Amino acid sequence: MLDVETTAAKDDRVLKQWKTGSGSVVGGLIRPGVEGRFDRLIGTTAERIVAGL
Amino acid sequence: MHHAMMMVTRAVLLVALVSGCSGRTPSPSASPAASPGAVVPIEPGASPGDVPLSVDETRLSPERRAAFDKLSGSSRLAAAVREEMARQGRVPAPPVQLVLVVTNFASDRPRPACGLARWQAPTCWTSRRPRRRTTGC
Repeated sequence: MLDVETTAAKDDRVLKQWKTGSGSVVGGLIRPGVEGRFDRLIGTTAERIVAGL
Repeated sequence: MHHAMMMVTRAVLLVALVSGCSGRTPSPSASPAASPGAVVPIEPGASPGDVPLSVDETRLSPERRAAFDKLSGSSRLAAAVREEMARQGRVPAPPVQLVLVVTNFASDRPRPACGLARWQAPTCWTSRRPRRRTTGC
């Protein structure tokens, strides 16, 4: 799992703050390696972070 | 009189039911936009590479931080976010900067939940002993 709290700031002023999380199942139950699961976690988290903009 | 009280009780129950349903909010993980109304200016023509972006992993425990570092988590997360900005066409207008604080990380393979089928969780099935029935008969 990977949980990230994102803050968008402009001129030292917080515009928005939101949390995103990728559950453990996102990494995959049968995906072979740590790298593959981590890639998937990172990708899902990044997708949710940008969607929150 | 009794009939009127029953009607009032029903009306109260109906209002409680309706307000309970409409008041339901999605969990934070399901909906990334946790601050409704907040606006981050988007500039379609901006380059994701120009957005100041930092990753803070200091909230992780030393063990999890070491595991995250070993996988080059910070740089990969920053790169993935920039890539996603380009893909979704959502790039914050300068001088907006993003700070990503990693609050939890676990890289290990999730354990199968017991109660799944035999092929999904063989360890549960091999270690499970038959339960003795306690029906009281």
